[in-house]
Amino acid sequence: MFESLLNLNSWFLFFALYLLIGFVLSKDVYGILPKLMSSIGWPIEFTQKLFGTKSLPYLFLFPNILIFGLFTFLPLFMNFGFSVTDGTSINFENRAFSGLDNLARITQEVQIDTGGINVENAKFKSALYDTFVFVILQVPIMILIALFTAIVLNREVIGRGFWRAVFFYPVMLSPVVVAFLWTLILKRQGMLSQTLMDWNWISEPIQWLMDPSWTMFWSIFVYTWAHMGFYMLILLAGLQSIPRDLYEAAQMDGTSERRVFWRITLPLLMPILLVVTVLSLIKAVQAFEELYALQVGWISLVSYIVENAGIRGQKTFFGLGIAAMASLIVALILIVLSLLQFYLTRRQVKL
Amino acid sequence: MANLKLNDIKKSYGKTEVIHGLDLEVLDGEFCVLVGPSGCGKSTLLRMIAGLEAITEGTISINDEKVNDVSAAKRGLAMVFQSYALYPHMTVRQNLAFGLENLKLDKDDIEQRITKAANQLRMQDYLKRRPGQLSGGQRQRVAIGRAIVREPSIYLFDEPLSNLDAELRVATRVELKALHARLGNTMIYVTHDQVEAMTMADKIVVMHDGIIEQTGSPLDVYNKPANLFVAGFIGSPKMNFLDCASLPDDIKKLSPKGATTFGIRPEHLKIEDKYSLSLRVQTVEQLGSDSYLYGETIDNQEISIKLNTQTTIKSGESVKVGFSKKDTHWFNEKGVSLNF
Amino acid sequence: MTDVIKFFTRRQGKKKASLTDWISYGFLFLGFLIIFLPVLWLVMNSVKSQFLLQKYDTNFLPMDYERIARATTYGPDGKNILIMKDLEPWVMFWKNLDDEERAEKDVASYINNFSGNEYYALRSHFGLVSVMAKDLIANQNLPDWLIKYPSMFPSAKKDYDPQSIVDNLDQEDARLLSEYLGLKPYKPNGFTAQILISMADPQTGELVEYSVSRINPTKDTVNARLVSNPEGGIAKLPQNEIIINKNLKPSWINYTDPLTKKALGSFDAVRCLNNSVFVTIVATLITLLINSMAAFALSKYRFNGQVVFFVIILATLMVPASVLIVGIFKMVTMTGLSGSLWGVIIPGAATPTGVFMLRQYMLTIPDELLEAARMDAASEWTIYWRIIFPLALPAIAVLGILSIIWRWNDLILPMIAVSTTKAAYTIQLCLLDFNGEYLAREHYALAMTVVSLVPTTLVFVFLQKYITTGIASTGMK
Repeated sequence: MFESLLNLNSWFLFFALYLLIGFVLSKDVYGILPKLMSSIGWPIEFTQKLFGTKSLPYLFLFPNILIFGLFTFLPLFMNFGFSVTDGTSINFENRAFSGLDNLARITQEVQIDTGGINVENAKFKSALYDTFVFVILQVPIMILIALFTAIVLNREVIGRGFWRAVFFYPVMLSPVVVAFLWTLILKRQGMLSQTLMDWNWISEPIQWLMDPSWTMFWSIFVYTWAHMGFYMLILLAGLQSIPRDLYEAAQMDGTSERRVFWRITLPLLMPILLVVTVLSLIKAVQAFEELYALQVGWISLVSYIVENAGIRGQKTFFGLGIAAMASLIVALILIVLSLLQFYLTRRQVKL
Repeated sequence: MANLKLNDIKKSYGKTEVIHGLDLEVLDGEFCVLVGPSGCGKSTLLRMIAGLEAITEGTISINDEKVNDVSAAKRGLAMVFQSYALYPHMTVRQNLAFGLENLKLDKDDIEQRITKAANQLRMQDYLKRRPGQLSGGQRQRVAIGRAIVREPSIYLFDEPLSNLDAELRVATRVELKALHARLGNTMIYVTHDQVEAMTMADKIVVMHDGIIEQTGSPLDVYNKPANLFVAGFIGSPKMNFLDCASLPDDIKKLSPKGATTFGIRPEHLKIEDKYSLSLRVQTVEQLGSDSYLYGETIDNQEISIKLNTQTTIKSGESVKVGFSKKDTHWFNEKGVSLNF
Repeated sequence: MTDVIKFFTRRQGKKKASLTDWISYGFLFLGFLIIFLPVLWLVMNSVKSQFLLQKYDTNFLPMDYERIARATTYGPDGKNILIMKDLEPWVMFWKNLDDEERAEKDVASYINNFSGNEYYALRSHFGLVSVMAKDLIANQNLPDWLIKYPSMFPSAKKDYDPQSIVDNLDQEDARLLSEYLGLKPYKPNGFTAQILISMADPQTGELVEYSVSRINPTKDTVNARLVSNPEGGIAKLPQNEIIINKNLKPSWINYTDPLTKKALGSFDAVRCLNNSVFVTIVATLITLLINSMAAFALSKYRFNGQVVFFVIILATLMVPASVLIVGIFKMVTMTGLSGSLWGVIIPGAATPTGVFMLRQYMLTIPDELLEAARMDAASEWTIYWRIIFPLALPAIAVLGILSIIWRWNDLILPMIAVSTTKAAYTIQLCLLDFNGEYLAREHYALAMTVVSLVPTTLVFVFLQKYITTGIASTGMK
């Protein structure tokens, strides 16, 4: 059933050995759960017996930090490595150092290897430009809709829980499902073209997702459809944390509803609104999965990276290096945005 | 059984020293109460004895064995916490058994100890309940039961009665005292309530700002307070303090040499024309059995009087007060008692 | 009824709903439509038959038409159009079956039930012409060049005279060989599935059956052929008078086929689902274990570098897997996890969101409980799993649910780790792949898409409270 699991590698063996040692050491522990837990935690028990409690916090942190180290921080360094080397191989000994050639390959008009016109540069620039357009349009639209929805749901509407669930539901769907859902409607012979043709609004089917004049609109639409609920929920939580007595006080003063919104709700919601905006900026810059599965007519930055990295297909000679260089550029954008977000939320995070 | 010795104990958090070199000896079987206002370091001291806080300097020994570096679990002590610290997700029985399981005692032994403790503390009925389903008093008992089943050499109590209402507090006080009589173990009890200290202790340790102000039996501490702080802290209502310089001459001549403060407990004052100390009564509290008078002397120093009868004196009246000479306390400018 | 209206329009303290209320409800309802119609459309399409999907059916419900086949044959008597009724569905969709499915059917004996033009049409439809013609050539010792003749360039064909060979054969064999060779008057026979409708005859009022290739609901007329006389040309029938024999016929095989058969080509839905279930469960367990351990250390101990560790963990939020694809791919390969489900599980097991959320919750657990446990001779590990873990369960439940959703829906890590190993594909990767590869199998893909959203939907419906509180309290997804 799980053929790929039988592919025993050293990790698996180490882990089995680890549990086995724990199992032997916990021979005088009875009950299934206690036995299991002491089989897992034996190094911590052991360290405490031998060296006391001083080093225990580090041991508790170790698994997490190990995984972060191996699969977040080392990859970041690997990306640096790939970005300054050439070759199809992922082994560094088979890659030649090339300095900033990869940067030149995606940013210069002239292809440095052939001296001809640089196609890659055009591709990267258009990915950068399209992603920028996407982010600039998608984020404000989504935040406005999310804010409006949150405000409506914060009113005394009947069945608030139900409506909230409805608006949140798309967040639960996987990007692939979201993409299929909308492909079904937006493909050439899909629901939308058919219906419009039946109504004689258009004379022949339109490929909404590929058509250059429509692709950005539908990318933004689908992406907003899929993610709006998440931001709506945070904004709703923010609205509900505004003390009720402020509204009651305003009511006593006879303040108009519009004035209450502009003078009380919005200023008090501002910190959360800011955080949500930056958060959605970060997510929009990374937009990839939905767009990839939708096969839209433009390439986002992360799609560009994925395509060049050749993870699903043939690796090209410069692909890996270019992808790594592009991902460094994206990472830089994200880090700046994240620092901005951290700055905005620092009060919530007690260090 | 066990005795406990503290030798020049110091504790600092970073650069701030909170305990400034304490010496204390608790004898085997003694009920020792650490009392003091909040922030005096009594809880910190107890936690150091328990092994929950490291000691910066000095030595702690139990049965003449240095235990500075022995972990809490291995010191053989048990502690009852202020909030009881019962494990909310475990039943009472599991709460009692948890520590014993950690010590890897065998099942029958655990069962036996729990039954015994449950009988002693009358909590057989709620062994299967969780702490959340118990009343304050019941929780208190479970907390004590958790200590008892461990059969420790020394019991530590960290203000265990402060979360109970007044009535239950009195009842539990009596029960605890009885428990001590029955078990005969050494117990160290921390409280800020001097009534608890007076009623329960074999030995009172009055602490203030990280030092021990006085150690002694309850009556010793009451009758012979070593300094202004102890005099003011023990006894309710508070001892009256008057500036020696402002005293009428007939009182002033009673003072020993070097006295700057005169102290007299409210219960030792009488309404009689013995000295020329007069009081303008401002408030009268009638408790039925006792009455309290609060007023000011001529030069606006506050005085309270406790009479153990009912009184007809009204506020606004002026009365003369008297006392017997043996009840007077005198303190020098450093606040040290001059009575001895 | 009026009570119901009153219930929906009542407002606290007010008699009638205000304009703002109407706008609010209008907006909510619009949102409901935009969100749920597409989902419902997906679900409805997933039970539509392959036939309907290929007809780009725009009905909401899986209303299947009665189908008939229209065949075109060419012979000495010219072009013949014939209508065939009561054919089995697999016959209609023979062209969409794969080799394995075709092999299951005994086509040769099936077509022997037919004769004449129906036989010829089906023979072409099943692709039997070339097989039978080659047999014929072999059996009758006819020249070998006949086999190559259909694929020759026109210039090369001039050198041969197949007609003389055909003329020597008996009538049936001659027809077969002519069809194979494409000799006049024979042309490839046609075969299409069509919709059966009927209409009352204007004069007699009798019901007459017609065959239609597509019904466009907005046009006034449909182009139809008489079933009894298909060659009588195309009639334009008024849309409002025709009777469409439609009935609700959900096509459950869309679900049962992928879930019961071993595989559909390289698409093994059961294996994909199993892989996803395995990844989701194991990864969530590991995530809960190690994240709660880290959160315990960060919330309940004081140690050197505490803040540094916390900041490092939070910093990983800045560089998501999607921008580190190349590096993670390298690391997954280096650690030998590539191509294994562990390569999907382990890199995502440590989550900054989880650590942060659990830490914040654990800060609220009183330290006295830990001290009591220490007095009770509990080791730190025992304190972790017997005191802290059970007490943090509310937060751990939230993280568990979020982790289940993350893992089930994850696309990037499977893409990085197992792209090259079909056996380790998770359901998301399978769907992505399947949709790209087999357009003719849309009905299966749609059904499996619906299956894939069942777990997350169930989790959402029953555990919504945990998810929303989890997200609202941490502001992280």
